Amino acid sequence: MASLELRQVAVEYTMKRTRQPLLALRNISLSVAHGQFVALVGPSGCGKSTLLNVVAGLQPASHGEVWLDGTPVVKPGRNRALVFQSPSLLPWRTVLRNVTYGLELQGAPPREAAQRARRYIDLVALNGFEESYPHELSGGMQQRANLARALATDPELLLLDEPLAALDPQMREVMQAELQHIWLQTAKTALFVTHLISEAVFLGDTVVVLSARPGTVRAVVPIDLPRPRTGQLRRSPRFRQLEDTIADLLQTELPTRLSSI
Amino acid sequence: MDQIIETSQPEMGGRATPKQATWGTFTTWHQFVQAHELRIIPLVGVVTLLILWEAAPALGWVKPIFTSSPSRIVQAAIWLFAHGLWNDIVVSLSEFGLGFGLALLFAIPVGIVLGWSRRLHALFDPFITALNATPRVALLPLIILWLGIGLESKVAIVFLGALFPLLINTIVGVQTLDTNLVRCARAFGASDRQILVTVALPTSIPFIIAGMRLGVGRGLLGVVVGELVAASAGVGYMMNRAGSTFQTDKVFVGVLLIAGFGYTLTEILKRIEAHVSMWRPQETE
Repeated sequence: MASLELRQVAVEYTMKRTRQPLLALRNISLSVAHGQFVALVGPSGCGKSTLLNVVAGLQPASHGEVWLDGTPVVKPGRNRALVFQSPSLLPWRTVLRNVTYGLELQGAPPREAAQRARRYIDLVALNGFEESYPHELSGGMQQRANLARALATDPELLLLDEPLAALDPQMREVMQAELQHIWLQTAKTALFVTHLISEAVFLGDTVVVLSARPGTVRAVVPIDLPRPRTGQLRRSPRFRQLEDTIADLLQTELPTRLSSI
Repeated sequence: MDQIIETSQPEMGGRATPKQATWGTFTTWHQFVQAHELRIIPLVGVVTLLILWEAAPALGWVKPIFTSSPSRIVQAAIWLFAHGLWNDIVVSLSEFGLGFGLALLFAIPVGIVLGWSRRLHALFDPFITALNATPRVALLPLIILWLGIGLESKVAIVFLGALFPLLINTIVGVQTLDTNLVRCARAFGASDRQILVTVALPTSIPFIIAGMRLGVGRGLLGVVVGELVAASAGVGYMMNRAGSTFQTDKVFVGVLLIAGFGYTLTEILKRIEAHVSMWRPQETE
């Protein structure tokens, strides 16, 4: 049984200034099996983040339906957790109290929340930094704390909106491996938005390529690379081949955009 | 001239005493001065001013009836403290304390509500803006008419003075929401009330303290002007009486009392601010 199912989802905005309707997403149908890691790639502004917001329940779909484990998604819920590009940690709380934050909002008893938080702080290798404030951490550490906060609520579906985009390239590769490691240990279903093709190939069980706005599913590319994937794998012919395939799919989206500039 | 140096010297010696504990760790004066540079510079400034102030009338550059001098002020202060200045201080402090306290009790909860509810804010904003733009002193004749020349009228004017910076800062503080933090809280299923308590209120605390700092100044203005205009006791009242009988020294005692009080309160608030914003990156202000 598919864990997450999107049926002909479309999202239309009304632009504030011109009051013109804007179709951000159209006819998105997607099935994500339980425990799968799906990476979403697409040109800028194709509605990747919008799609995550809809699945998170932060934003309604104009048409179509989102089903999660047999229930329609209408508002945010405990079975999903969203990780943003900016770590969005509360700056006045320590790492520990940031990681308990999600649990606290969901009404978990403080002692249990602290216990669970410590477990996930260990998992993301931030032990020793429980009492540090976010500004005392590096970007990568902040993002790990952010990830721990999402994981601590024990969601069935992890929604990751370019969580590594703010990191420098070296750190980013380290964190990709780290993220894979954490994901392998927790076995959550994950929807991961990224701009980087290599990141999508490295992390995804499948890569979903979206078209330019209005975004729709252009292709679903299964990634048949063995796990755990390593740094060396990035240089393997199969990895490069998959990258090229996805790049070609994205390329066809570009000319219309370039001519419109 | 000799006397001048004597009056200013003990004060410097007095202030320097706590530092003498660390004196042993410095081998030369030079090192000591370097290590405490930022404390020594303001001290030098203050002492220089005191010396000039004392010297100017003594050398006949200015008339002491206009400028007074530190030694005269000290003498006047001693005399005043022996002749009922404490009572004036207590009166002024009560006026300020009550007015400022009431302003805090009123402005913070109301500011939180108005900052949170766009509709209520829209309803009250014209009144807040208009009253904030009106100098509170302009309301004094009315307030005296309503509340008399006793404690109540001064409490009211301090309240009105401190109210608006506090209220406006609290409103702005609650309204200043980091959209990322709100989106994150919403994604965890947070209710409006939870967002208020976990995001909006912590964000607003530095704003509220900044409002308190502004409010201290406005409140003190209220006390002094209120007492100058109509009162039967208080530091401002004492200054008014002294001024109208050309007792410049006593006026300066009042000025220094008020300045000292305002300065102390502002410093205390700065400390509190630094304490509650421990989570902030080190600021280079």
